[in-house]
Amino acid sequence: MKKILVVDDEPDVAELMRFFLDSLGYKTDIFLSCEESMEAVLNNKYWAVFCDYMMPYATGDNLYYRIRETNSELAERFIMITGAVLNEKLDEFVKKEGIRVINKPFKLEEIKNILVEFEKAER
Amino acid sequence: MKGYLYHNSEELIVSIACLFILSLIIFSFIISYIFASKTEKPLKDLLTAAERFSSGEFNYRVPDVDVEDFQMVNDAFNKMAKDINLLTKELDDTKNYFKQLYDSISNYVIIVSPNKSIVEVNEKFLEDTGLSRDEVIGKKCWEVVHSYDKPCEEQEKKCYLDEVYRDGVQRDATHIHMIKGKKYIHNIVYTPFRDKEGNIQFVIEDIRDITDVVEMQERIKDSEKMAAVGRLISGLAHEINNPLAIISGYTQFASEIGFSDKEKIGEICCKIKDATERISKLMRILMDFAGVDNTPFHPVPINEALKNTISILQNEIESSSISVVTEFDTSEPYIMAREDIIRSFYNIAVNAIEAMSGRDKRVLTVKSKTENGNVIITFKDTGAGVSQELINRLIEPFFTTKEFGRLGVGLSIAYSIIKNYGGDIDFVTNNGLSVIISLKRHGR
Repeated sequence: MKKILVVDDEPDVAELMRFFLDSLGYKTDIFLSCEESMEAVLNNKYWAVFCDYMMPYATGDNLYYRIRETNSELAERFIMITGAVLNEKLDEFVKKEGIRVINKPFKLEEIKNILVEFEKAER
Repeated sequence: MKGYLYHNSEELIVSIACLFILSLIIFSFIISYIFASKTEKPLKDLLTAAERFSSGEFNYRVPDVDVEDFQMVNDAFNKMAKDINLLTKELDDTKNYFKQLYDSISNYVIIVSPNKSIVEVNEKFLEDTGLSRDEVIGKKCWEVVHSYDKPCEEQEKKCYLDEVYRDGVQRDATHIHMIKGKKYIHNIVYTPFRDKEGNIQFVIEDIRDITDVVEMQERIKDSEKMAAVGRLISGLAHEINNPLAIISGYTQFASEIGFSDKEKIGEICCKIKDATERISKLMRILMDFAGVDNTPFHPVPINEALKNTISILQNEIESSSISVVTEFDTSEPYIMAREDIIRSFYNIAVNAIEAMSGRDKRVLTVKSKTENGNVIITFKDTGAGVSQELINRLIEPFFTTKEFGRLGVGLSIAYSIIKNYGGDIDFVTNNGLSVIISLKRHGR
């Protein structure tokens, strides 16, 4: 069973993601901050990451760079989920790194489609 | 018969004398005629030269004559004419030099007489306004720079010229001028120009055109406003998008996939309800922020309002182990306001309480006093304070120095409420932050 990492400071959003991803047949770990998840990334074999951008202390891009250092394959399946708008730093980061972005509120279909795409690319 | 012609010798002498005098007279006439015929022309020439010279023909010289004495006079005249001509030239050069200096000044210079007539103006003013000299010189200043049909004082507008003429003190002012239908923003320095006796002869108006500068400042202000609106939208969007993601996510799940676990439904409905409430609360905050409240103004006892604020926050105060010090104005002042004034106190107090979290010393001081007809209310905390550069941003919506997830509207709502009642709010950072509110006292 593929493991997915979800990082979001909104517990209910993280919970919703787990609820949905579990229903798609994945095993989901949720964390409420970048710091907490960084250790988990080293200790677990995740297949994909859904990460919020605006979080206390450290924004989501920090986790992305950490993952890219240690696990470039996982970095390719890093998806940013954000409720932020008109955020220059986020826009710059997304443009520079070519990161996939899902805006809140999102369609469950969007998440499913991305995962299907990742699965196909792997085969 | 001897001696019949002359009866005696005396008669003879008389006759000879008469003859002599007569011939002398005739001789004088002849001499005068000869002399006059010789001097008439040189005299006329000299007269003509004097006339032409005085009419400004400084190059005109008296022609040479063959009368030696006259030639001397003429030479002296011509030398004088030459000298005056040189002096006049020097004077002209100096005049041109000053005129050029005057016209090279990039500011506008207008010289105005005590009766408000313009006596001199520099080229720059004419060039930029498109006015001709005739449209300016001798005209009244209020006609030229304001396009008024009567003097400023008759329209109950302050005239700085009058003031400078009255006390001789230099002044400056920024005015909107209307010249040939075009609006200018001018910064004017009025300087008195005195004669040797010290009497003010004219007032020199040194005018700098700051129309572009002011317009630029306004554009910057607009763009700053737009930036604040942008921050407001992005802050608001983030706060709304998260609960919206929860609502939309679970409802999609319910409608598209369905819940197998019936028990889960109740739990999820609770999450949706919470998320909906978060959005509603946000809307209420925005309503407050926009000041949507139409109950009438009434006298509000300030000390009472402050005590209420503290009691509403009693839980937070106790749980954060904060000690509260109060110093209230014993004259029990009132202000004219609505109940929302308490919300502004509440927001400021909450802000103070939160600023002290994790600090060793946690004292909230709440004071009221009367000063110059105003009630001054102070909330002082012992938090970390705010840096000088951030102090101006405290009242900006969605600005926060606190941990992530705070909306950052508390102080800006407080500010807008207080402004709404004609009050003012000031921040002083010194061992914590003091928020000083000034509101007009109602009644005595």
